[in-house]
Amino acid sequence: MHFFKICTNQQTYFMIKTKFTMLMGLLILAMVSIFFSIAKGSTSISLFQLMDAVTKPENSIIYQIIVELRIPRTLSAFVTGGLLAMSGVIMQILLRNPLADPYILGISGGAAVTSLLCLFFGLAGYWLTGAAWLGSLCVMAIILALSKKYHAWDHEKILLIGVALTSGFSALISFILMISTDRELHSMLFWLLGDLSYAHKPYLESAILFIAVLLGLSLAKQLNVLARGNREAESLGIQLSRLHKQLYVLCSLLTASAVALAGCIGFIGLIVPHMLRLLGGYDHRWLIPSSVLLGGSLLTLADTFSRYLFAPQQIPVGMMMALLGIPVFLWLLNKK
Amino acid sequence: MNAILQAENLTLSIAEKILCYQLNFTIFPGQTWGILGPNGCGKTTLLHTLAGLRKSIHKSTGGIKLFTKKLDTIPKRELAKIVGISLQETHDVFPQTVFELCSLGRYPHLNFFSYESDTDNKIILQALTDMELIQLRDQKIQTLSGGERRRLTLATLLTQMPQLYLLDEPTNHLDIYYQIKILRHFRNLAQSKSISVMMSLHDINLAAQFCDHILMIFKDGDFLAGPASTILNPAHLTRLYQYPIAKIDQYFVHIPTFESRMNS
Repeated sequence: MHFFKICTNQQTYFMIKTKFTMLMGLLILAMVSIFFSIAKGSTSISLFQLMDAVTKPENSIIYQIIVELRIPRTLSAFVTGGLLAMSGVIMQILLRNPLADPYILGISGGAAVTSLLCLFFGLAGYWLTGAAWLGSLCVMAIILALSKKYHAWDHEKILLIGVALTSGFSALISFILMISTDRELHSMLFWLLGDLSYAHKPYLESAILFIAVLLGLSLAKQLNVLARGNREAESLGIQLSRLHKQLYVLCSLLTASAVALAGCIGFIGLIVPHMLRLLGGYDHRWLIPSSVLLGGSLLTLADTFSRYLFAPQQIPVGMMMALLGIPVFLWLLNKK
Repeated sequence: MNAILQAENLTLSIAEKILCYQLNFTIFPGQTWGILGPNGCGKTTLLHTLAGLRKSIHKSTGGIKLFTKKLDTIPKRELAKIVGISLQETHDVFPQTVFELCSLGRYPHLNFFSYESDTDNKIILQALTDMELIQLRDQKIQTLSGGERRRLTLATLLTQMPQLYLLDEPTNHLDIYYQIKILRHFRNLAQSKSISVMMSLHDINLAAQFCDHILMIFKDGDFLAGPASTILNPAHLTRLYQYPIAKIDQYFVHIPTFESRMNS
């Protein structure tokens, strides 16, 4: 890669080496978590069986489990985690608020209302995905339209709008839950807590994540500057209104695809950016790919545990994520 | 020599209230300008306007020219190579190191895909050395004191290497040693590199010693601009601060001895 050639300088070399080691570590974590996710479940598959099944795929049950169930599920978990973590990184910079997460502007609320309505009327599958997309995009459009009124992106006002929308949606969600029957309630609760068992084969979302990482990397230097503040960024040559719109659309689409894939998985979009910042990553040229890897790995691990620990009973991955992630995060926060 | 910046009939306002009316002044390379004025007279608003961070009203009656171009026609990135500003306050929310923050000043000079090169790093390290922050380069900015943060903001501006430095109260939070060191640094920069510096100050002593030109903005919106020797006199200062100033003679702090100590 061309940046290695340039940095004969000690300072840059050291910085890049540290970041590169970090990225490699996360890549290994990602591979380990993916392997566990494929191997573990109601049926455990050993490494030997896995190799066997891959080399001799004909009429093997294990091969069918792997290809039809485990790989799509693992990919869904990894992609959802990556989408949410990257969206969290951008949202925190965009709102200049360390407490921001992908859902803070009400995108998940909008998606939840449309998705629960879908479940209420007994629709599932692609209807559910489509409804989640519709809900998220509507909220995105509302906020974009409202933000146009201000000359500059006023993050405090946008944040208030988001919080207001979220409370409105949660009232609607409660109403839908109240009028639903017991049978629908179960799947609704799973959706709200974040659940990957409905996840289809996530081709569209994987493509979105891939393109978003490329776009995110191309905006990374501007993100670094924007983190200093609006005025500072503008005085360094950033076209603020354009960048704000680009970032907002980008992280809304990331959030929308994650929500369409797996419902509202909380917490991951909030803590992954902070975990990486605690580990010493400020530069978004590294933070963006690292967040995708760490977010993906954590959610994949959480999903594996949620399938495996109480098998055959499955618990929502969002719940498992919080149970696993919070202790790790608190430990990391106190260590520094 | 060509003027770096020319303000013609520039009127500044904030929230519909006119702060100063039809300002006229021209900044040439090598000059160090001090802006004096009471609180709320529009010093910061003027600096922000000159940096392209606000729109000046009455576009038809006045404007700002950088070299020969109108300020609002210059693309943001090009503008950042010509004018740099250090703001009065900074709010850093996310953890980063002194070196990382300082390197952001190079942004306007980097290409779309390029990483900071050796030259960029040398500039960053030089700026940190000039502001005496080099020992702190790997420290998190959240651990810095007020004065260290101020110097870091100025170091970041130095890495931007503009042709016109706008400093909004650069001596805030600094002790006397750094106040003098930093003003000397910027004045020497202006004189040796034929660039210009314009700063707002509250300390008349410092303005008298480090600025060769003064812009006074009065509370009623009137202004005076010109060489320090003609502008800085008791009558003007009394009118400016609404406080009787009898005479200007020896400096309050005897900096000449300090300077000779620094040179020896």
